[in-house]
Amino acid sequence: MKDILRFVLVLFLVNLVAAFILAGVYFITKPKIDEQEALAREEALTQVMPASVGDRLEAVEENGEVKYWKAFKGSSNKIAGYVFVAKKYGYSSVIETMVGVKAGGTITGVKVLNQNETPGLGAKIVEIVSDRTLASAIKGIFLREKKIEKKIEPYFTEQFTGRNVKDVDISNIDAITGATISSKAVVDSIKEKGLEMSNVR
Amino acid sequence: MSGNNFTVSPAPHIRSGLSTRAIMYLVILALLPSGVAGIYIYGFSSLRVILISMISCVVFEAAFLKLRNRDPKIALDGSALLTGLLLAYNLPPEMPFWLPVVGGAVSIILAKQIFGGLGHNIFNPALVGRVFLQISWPVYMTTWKNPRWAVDAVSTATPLAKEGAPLFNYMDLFLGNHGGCIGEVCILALAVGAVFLLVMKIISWHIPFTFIGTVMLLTWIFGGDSMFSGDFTFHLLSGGLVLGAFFMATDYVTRPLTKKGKIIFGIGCGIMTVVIRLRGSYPEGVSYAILFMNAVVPLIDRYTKTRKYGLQK
Amino acid sequence: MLRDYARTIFFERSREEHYMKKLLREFSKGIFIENPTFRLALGLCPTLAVSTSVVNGFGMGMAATFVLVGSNIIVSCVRKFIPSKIRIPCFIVIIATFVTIVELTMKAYFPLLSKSLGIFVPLIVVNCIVLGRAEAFASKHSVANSVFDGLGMGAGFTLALVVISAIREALGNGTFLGLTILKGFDPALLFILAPGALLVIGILIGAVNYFTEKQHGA
Repeated sequence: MKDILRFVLVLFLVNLVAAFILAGVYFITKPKIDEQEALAREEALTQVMPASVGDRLEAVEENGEVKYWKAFKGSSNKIAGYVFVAKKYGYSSVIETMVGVKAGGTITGVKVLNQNETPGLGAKIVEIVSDRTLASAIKGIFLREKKIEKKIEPYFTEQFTGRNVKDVDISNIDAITGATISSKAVVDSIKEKGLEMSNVR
Repeated sequence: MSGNNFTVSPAPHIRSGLSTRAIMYLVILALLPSGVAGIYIYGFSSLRVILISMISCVVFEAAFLKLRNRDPKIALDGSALLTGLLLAYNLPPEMPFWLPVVGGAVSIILAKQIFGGLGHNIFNPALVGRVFLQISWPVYMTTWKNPRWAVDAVSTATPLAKEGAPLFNYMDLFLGNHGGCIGEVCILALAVGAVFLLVMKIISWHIPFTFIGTVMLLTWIFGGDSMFSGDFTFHLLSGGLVLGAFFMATDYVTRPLTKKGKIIFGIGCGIMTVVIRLRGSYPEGVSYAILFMNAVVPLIDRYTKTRKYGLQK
Repeated sequence: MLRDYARTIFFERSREEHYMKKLLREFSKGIFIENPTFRLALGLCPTLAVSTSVVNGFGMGMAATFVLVGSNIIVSCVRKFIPSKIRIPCFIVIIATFVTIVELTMKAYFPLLSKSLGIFVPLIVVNCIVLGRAEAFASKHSVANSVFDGLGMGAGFTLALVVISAIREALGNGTFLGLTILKGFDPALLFILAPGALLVIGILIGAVNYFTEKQHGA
């Protein structure tokens, strides 16, 4: 009996201390985590919706959840475009993409927000072709070359830019070789959600 | 032992006049018609793949035997040659030259020599090589070449890639008039070799017939749009089923010893093949099915062990 | 009195000059002789899962090292107060606390790394190296020894992860730290996938065993 009380007391104390420490860490890191998430979202938004199309974004909320964003150009009140998030299960994970469209339905940009597809196969939907190699990078360090990195889009999602949502189809988008399922998930989710959005209007 | 002198099984044994080497070369002989058909159908590039694969297998075998302080001449016992030939038969007819070399290295070193050489490998070496290549370079492994009779230049998919299916009739499939791996397309040539092996009693009927029978039965039941309407002839004639059932599932080292065990093995291979073909994300499942069942062989052997002669249970 | 008691918790009875050597040995054993991955075969699941790129491998190794050292310190501090019958739940709570700290910190300051490591950071909780060291070492040794043991084991784990992931990234993706190694090299996808992890680890363990055996002249 005495033993059990002692066990309970020790376990209780250990858990209590752990709980206090975790609460502390949580309160310290929470604002920073939120900030990081907001930053990532902001970056994605500006990437899929270039300022030349719409520079003012307004979130449309439903039950406290952002459903999509309306984009306006300058001070005009005419809707210039929309930004929405499309999701679909790919090969091994839910692939989440953020898509910007002009009011007419032309896609201005696609960015993969979340995916956990097979590295080397499905994960190539976010691959960026770069001509930097290991050798050139080492050379760059030794010669102290300062190369201005151009912002390059992943080649898979770049294919969507400029197409109308209605024309997005697996037959006219080059799928990643060996990863048809992941590619198709992205294409289908964008098409479905895009058509749904054009009905909302 | 019903007069079947060349089957490896538990004691008592009857000593046969055939050595391992002789059996290996007989199997190679039985495989020749299919290779000739493959070269005839897809042209010279198939011969290139076959030669590179066989030479690299023998070279790797000799090199690794030397490394293990064994006589490198053992490499000429025919088993490495057979592995190389089977590997090539499972490859598309046109590919970069280094692909069969890598395949040969994986087959011989990883699947065979690391386990201790001939007789000790758990998995069929040629299939390990093929699966390694299939997973590593899916693009090269699914780039098919048109058969010589093809009129248009559009490269044909293998019949098992679902969309391509209606394009083929049974005669084309039987003779090999479609895209596919070198040694699996011409069913006629394979059948000639299989009959030869059966007549010579180098293989017994148990594994190939239960394997093929299970595949046909299950594809008939589940392969169609409704139950019992599947096209089982199509499933028999396409892909590597015949090659796998007669020449690879029957590999002496990686199959069960007893008749009962072989029947279980064949049925298991059949079930796995159908599951992968109909439900899996790969169009072809024969190699995976055989490898999977290879892993189960020790278990099958344990539960189907025959009583030792003269011993009470 | 109290000072003496604290001393027995933090240090082990030993002559000063030998003690430093002992601590260093505690550290270095984790890197080779008792390497958690190659010699003890502990913590193989995260090793298999995250060793797809050098960045992931290194990040995972660092995170696990932090958790190891932290949990080793605390477990060793409280080793005299924890009744042996409930030691495992106590250790788990301690480890889980450290893992959560790592996870939150990573999310806040290294969002990209935390995204690519994904579920495997919270899963450090069940990494058997951490509980293994708490149970086998920290609960029996002083704090100073436990710190060095944790550092050594962490370094060994990180080293193993980096070696494995370097091989896998190079062969399976043709890159090192995301930079293309050789133009025109067709990477073998198998190495990036699960079977590649098993193959590489198997071959490396074999190689390590071969060389240790040779060294000891067995």
